[in-house]
Amino acid sequence: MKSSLAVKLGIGIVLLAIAGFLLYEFWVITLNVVGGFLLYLLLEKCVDFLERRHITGAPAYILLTLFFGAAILGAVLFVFLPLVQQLNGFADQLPFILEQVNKELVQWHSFIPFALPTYESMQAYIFTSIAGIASHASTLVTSVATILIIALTLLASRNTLWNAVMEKIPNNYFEVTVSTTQRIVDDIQKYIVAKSAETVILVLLHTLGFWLIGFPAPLLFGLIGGLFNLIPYIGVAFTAVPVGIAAFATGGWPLVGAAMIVLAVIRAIDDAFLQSWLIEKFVHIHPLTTVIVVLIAGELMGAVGMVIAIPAYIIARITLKGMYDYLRSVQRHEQFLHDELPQDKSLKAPFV
Amino acid sequence: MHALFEFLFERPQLTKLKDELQDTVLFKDLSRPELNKVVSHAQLRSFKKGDHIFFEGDSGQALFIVLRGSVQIVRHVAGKHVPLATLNKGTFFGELALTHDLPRSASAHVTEDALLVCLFRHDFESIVKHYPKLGTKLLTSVNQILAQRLTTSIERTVNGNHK
Repeated sequence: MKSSLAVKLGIGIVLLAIAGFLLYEFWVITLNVVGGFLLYLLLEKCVDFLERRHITGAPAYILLTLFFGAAILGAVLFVFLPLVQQLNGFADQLPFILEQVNKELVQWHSFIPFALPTYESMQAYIFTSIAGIASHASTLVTSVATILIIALTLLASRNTLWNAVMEKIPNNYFEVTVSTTQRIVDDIQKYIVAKSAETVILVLLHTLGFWLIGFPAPLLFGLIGGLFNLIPYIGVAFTAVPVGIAAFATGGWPLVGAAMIVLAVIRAIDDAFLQSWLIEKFVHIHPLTTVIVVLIAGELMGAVGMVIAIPAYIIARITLKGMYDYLRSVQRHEQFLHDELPQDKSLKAPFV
Repeated sequence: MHALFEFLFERPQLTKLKDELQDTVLFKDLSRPELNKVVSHAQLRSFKKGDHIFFEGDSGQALFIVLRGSVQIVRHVAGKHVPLATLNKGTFFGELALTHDLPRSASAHVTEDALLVCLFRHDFESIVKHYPKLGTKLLTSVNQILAQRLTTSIERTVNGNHK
């Protein structure tokens, strides 16, 4: 019995949903694999860049290692060490900051009754999160190492692996699978490169802005601002809360105002220039779709889900479209196969 | 060390077929380094006799070069398959997919076990973007062959009308 297009598409969607469920259920493994793959895509872009300048094979990999080695060294010297210093200073100030905030909120308690309980639950959440991060430090280190190993293994075997995978695909699905995969890799690669560039620029802008207004630990909060931007559209709200609290406790309302102006100016720069230059140019997704996708992913997988929401959406969209197009063509194929094929072998080539 | 890099970073099968590729109508004007660049973007695929490579109306994404075997191009007209051409070693088909996002205008099926090299539009665009000189050479070759095929089609049409 021949099944209809709707049935085939339905089975395909169910299989995809099962795959999605398994990936979600084993999310630590999924995250490591996804992280390794994303890093590989970024590194591959660099290798391609070198190859186009006739630097191939061993020299390309040595150059890449030297470049990333220098980048890591620079990051340790100019970012990590000052960051640890600022983090220590901020940790010393933290009890004072919390006390200040608490004192202010107690004064407002009669006007805004929900402010104090909200703050207390927020404080408890922050401490639980910090404790959670600390307890998962070893998992984090293992994940970083796994992601690096996966990325480098993929990079070292990029052509052979690609060929090996493609060889396993039956001839019937070959063209659609390769073109769909190429589209996914291309879009994800563009998104990663654009998002990485945007994040670096935003970290620099936040740090510069906070430093200019005399904000405590500008590099630390610059990093927070830049990294929270990885969460599309609503990331700025996550930045505003710690920035607002730190500003209020160390400089009072004037510093809160200045910090919020810095955040607003940077948001305007991001929306007006960076988003249109970098993100929208490469990834064509409606802003409303982005917000919905991010919220759903956040509900399912928390902050990590929000970060990987857009790449996951890109993959799902292209895969479903590829599946739909293929299943539609199958019906036409069946019709063609009903007719007998000719045996004439003496004709010249036409256009196909 | 060189063997290790050859294994890790080069395509294993296609690299052995460079001489055969150099003889094809599409790549005959390319230098060896240029051919290497194309090979790094292309894929090798084997088909059995009776296999269908693509069907009329499918979304065309790749050009196919026949390295071994033979492929028949047919058109579906009023419930019948009309043969348009039989292609052998060195020829290519599906060229419109390289430059146009159009459905396939005919079907292709294998009449003798075939070894085909596939060049996808995405890879072709990448060649044109990053190696413009090589891209121009490839496009010129495709255009020359398209012009020959157009002339053949016109002659066939004119002869058909006069009969």
